[in-house]
Amino acid sequence: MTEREDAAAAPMPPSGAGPSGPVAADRSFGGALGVPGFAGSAASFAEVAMTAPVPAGSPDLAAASAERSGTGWPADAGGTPPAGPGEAQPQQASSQEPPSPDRDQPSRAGGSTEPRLVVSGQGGQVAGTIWTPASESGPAASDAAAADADEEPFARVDARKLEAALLGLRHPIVTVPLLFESPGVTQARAERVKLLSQIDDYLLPRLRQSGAPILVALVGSTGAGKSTLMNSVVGKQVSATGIRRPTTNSPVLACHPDDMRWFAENVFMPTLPRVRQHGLAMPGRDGLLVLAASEGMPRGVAVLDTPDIDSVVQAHRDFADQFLDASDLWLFVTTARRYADAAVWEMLQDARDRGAALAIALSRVPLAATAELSTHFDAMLEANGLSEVRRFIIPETVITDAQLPAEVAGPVRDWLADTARREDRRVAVLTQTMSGMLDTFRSRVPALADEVTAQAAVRDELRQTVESAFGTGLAEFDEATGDGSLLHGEVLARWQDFTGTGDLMRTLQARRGRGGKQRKQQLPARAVALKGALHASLVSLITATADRAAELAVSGWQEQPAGSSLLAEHGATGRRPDGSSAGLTEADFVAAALADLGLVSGTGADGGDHDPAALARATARLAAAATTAVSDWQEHVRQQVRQENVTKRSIARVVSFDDESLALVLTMGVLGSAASSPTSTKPASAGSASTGSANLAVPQLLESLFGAGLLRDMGARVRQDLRERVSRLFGAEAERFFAIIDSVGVLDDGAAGELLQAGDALEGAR
Amino acid sequence: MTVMLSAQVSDSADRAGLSARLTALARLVQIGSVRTGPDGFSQDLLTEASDLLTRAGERLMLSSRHTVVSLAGGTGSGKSSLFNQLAGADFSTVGVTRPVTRDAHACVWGVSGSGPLLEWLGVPRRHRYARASALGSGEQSMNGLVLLDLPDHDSVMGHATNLVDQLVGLSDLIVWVLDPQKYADAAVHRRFLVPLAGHSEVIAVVLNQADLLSAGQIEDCVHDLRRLLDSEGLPDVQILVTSAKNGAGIEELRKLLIEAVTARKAATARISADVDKVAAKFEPYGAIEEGSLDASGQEHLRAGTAAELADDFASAAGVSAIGDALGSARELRAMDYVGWPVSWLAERLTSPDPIRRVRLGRIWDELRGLSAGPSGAQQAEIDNALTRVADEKVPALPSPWSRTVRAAVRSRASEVPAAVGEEITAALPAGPVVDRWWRLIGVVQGLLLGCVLVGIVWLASLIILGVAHVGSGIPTLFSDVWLLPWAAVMLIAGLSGGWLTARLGTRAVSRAAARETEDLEDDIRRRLAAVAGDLVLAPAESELDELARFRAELRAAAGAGMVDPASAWN
Repeated sequence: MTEREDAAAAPMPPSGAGPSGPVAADRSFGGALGVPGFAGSAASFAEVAMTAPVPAGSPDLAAASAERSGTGWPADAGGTPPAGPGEAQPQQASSQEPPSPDRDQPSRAGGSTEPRLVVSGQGGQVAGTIWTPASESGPAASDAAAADADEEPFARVDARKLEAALLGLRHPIVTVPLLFESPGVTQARAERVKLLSQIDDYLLPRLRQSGAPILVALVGSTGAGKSTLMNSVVGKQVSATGIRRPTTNSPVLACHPDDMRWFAENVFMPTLPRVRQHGLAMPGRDGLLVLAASEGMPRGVAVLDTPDIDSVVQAHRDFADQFLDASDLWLFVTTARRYADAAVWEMLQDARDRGAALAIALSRVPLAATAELSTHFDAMLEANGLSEVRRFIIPETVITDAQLPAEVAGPVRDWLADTARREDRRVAVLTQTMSGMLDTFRSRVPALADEVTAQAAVRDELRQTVESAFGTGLAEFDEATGDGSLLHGEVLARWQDFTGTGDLMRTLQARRGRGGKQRKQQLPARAVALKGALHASLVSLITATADRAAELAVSGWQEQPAGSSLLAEHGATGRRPDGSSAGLTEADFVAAALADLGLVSGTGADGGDHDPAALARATARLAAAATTAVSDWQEHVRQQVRQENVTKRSIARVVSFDDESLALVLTMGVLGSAASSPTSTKPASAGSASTGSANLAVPQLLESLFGAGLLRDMGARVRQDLRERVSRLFGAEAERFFAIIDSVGVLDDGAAGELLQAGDALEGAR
Repeated sequence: MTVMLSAQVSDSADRAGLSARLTALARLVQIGSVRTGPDGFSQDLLTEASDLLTRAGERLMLSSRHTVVSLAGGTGSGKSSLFNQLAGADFSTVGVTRPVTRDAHACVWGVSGSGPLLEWLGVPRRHRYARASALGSGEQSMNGLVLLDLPDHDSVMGHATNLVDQLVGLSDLIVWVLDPQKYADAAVHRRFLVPLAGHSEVIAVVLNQADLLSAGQIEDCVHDLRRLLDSEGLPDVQILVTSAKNGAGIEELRKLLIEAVTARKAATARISADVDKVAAKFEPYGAIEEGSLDASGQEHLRAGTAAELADDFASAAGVSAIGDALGSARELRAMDYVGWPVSWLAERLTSPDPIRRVRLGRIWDELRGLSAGPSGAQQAEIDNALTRVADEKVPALPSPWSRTVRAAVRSRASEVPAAVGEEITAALPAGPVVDRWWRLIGVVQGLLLGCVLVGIVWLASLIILGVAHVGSGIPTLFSDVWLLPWAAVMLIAGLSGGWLTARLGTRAVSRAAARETEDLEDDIRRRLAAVAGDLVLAPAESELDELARFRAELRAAAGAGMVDPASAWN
């Protein structure tokens, strides 16, 4: 057994585990899978093992199988004897000793039927990792793959498939339309950035570069001694320490010189600028990653000293978050003085929730209080569901040369070296972190999709607000034209003038002769004035109601967070004549993110009226449009009168009216009488009392000229026509608002579905 | 003794000044609370201000002889150790596991009168300790000190944070206890120190656990801490370096407390700093260019606006149409008097009225009976006019005021049409007026008509009697043919005289009507200008007056130079 193990393990890891191959193999056998705190992932690893051919005979086959199951993640699983999930062993968190590999304990996760992430690659560029001796894989690989296809109890995962699924998910996440300020949009935007950074900075690089060293992030409070611990682990001072808080402004990454290439610009966190440095990392510019190569580091593991999570410098927190997403294993450092800080537990709960591989160090513990503190701390860990996490206690000691004494840092260093050296541990760590991260996608992606739905609701509500505002405007217009309130002021005075002087009667003409030939007559000046007054009052009514509607729409928007931000943005665009953006807007983000994907979409800002105060008023062109519309309507009324051939009716045998005057009388009747409103239930005969004496004569005159039935019909038709014209005008007014809604981007209603689908595809690929 | 006396004098002066500022702040809240909304006074600010008013009122009513000093800080910074050191006894528990202090503890030097104050602070009775009995030489001067040991603000115990918030708000003087490990924590800076910007006077920062650092490190640390505090708007904050373990710096801290207690200014200084901060937050609402409001702002609003509005109202009410109608009606009526009946008759005879033929006479009568009367005004046109005035005439003002002044302009828009109608009605002549000269002309016309009739009769009789010699014994006046030309002349003179009189009369009537219409319109415009002043400009001006009052109160609340910044500490 040991020999076979040897054969499989020896050629594989050219670094790190090489010399200690037999030892590693020994440990990985059976209960060796027990990694402190990683019971669940240990089980995952065990399944990797189970995919291996049980009675694997030849080293050839073992190597091939290692290649297959190890390309996703390098594992010496190929030759591991059947090690069931039940043999994985959880470790007591409180133990400070290295895990004893011999004890068999039933794993908690062993019985679970949850799908596991078991990665294997099938050649291609994905397979080309340093862990895979491609030369040895030979043609047997495919045979072996075929051979154990039916023996396989768990779904196999193709790294390429997973990568494709992730890329498939990335696009809908980038394009997810988060345009409006809905209640949850800020979180959703942050969540999107986080999802993307997790995919880009961790998942994809890990899938593509499975052989990269394990990245251990030192996380923790300011002043907890992260840098000191790092220096101690490395064995020389690479990160600056001091009493100034926060001490570390630039993250420092330390690894063995051989591993340095993994952290080159184009591989690891591509967007981050970095400097290579030998010796002590000097406090340089913030936001610069300092790479420190040191022979003191074990191969296969890199330690990252991150900025603090809780100092006054908020940028550090964001920066730290980004690194945390990119690392495989968190070593959380807190102190005896701080461990009850709320910030510490927020961070730890975050780590727990995302299922990341985690270890905790409680440093600066006064020697006298070690027992008391560790008990209390363990109780707190327990209460927060972190009892299985590997925990280190680092006592308060004398610090020389920015390093802890060797015996104090020893356990941490050993543990790190062990993690790097032992394949089982390594795979367990990687599996847990990646699996944990992917697990969170299961709920986070649908949550993001829900936000898209919420966005659609917000947009609909915004549209609704505008529509209802202009609907109210139209209703007001209806009311004003229906209840005779238009027959005031100039219209009434002109009407009185027109009728009182007998001009109206003068337009009545006796038919002359049998031919009925009418004498063409000029419309009296008073009729022209009346027509003008009617026209002007209708135009002002339209303008006033449109003003009110626009104001209503704006104030309605102001009450909604999404609306008020749209208005602010609209105003800001107005104030920037060059159209350049002051801050990173949603459109900018998408444009930038799409540019990443090679899908550039131009977001040309439309020119136009951007004065926010003007938005609450009717547009300038409304007055002109209303003038035209009312003139057209008046012409329409005249046409109607002419078409109805009023002149042919009984009364017309003796007299005839001038079309124009009759149209005026009809208009007065329509606007003055609620009776002719199509929605009114009042009897048609009664003149509206509110209009005063002005139109007392009108209904009677009209009735005797048209007849009651025709009058009602025509009145309704003419009024309907006016309503339609005005509603068209209002529609054009409302367009402005819709244009603002659309200007932030088009909300793709299918985005939620696309997102969910991509999420499902990712689940399927696991 | 003299020191005490002068302290008391300045104390009462401080208090008087402070209460004036608080009154001004209360008025600001009052003005602001009716002007909230999306762009109005922020509700949070108003709440903050009224909370401050309540708190200040309560604090000023309570013991002025006591000074409340809080020891605040993160978990493990050694607040309780300091507290015990200062109190000279182990009142507050000290421990290694975190968090230790979960409730506030209070130690009082000079108990008398402190009860209500402690009650107000909400310190439970079991956590109150008195130092009245143990009056040493140094203790005497600390008489009046209420020292609070606050719970950790940053621990996992959520409720403690709220308690700390509350007590930090109520304290007169706050001593922040930091330690070398945690002095730059976001938890203390973001949450507490930044909001306390401007409170340098009533804040002291203690860097505890100095025994852990070397002298050089302490200097470095203090320097960095000073830089942080400066950047947070807390310059000149006293920074003390202490060690509860070896007692270093404790005496300085005690001295600081004694000074604060003796000066008795901390309470007023604290409230004063709070008022400063809140007043500063009110500042943007009153930020206008100097002078744009006082005279010229109102001038800008006033200038020609009333006349403009009167024109708009006039057109909305159709004043010119009313004038036209009135003139027409007048001319029509005048025709009854000054018209030449003969020509009217001739017209009737030559062109038969079609309406009479279709029995529409009733309508005809009604239409004729329509006289120009009150017509009200078009609401829509009024609205448009007011909107235009609001947009164009209201001066540029800070955020809520532009809107409220505009709203004030339009606040009584719905009352305008009725008011306009009333004014027009009042301006119109009460009933149909018949001028005396119309009657005179009417009499003349009657005489002329009689003259014509006599002429016709005369002419006829001359022709019949004189030319045809029908009868006999008739006076020569009716039968003398030679009188025929005279009769004809009389007829023609009557006819032409009547026609001429009618022409002249009509012309005079229309001229008079035009003049009257003009007078009427002028009158109406004057009245409408008054309406515009009452219903449109007056509300807007009173809103502008409110803004002026707001600015005055703001100045009073800001109380420049009210408190000498150096006096609280030194």
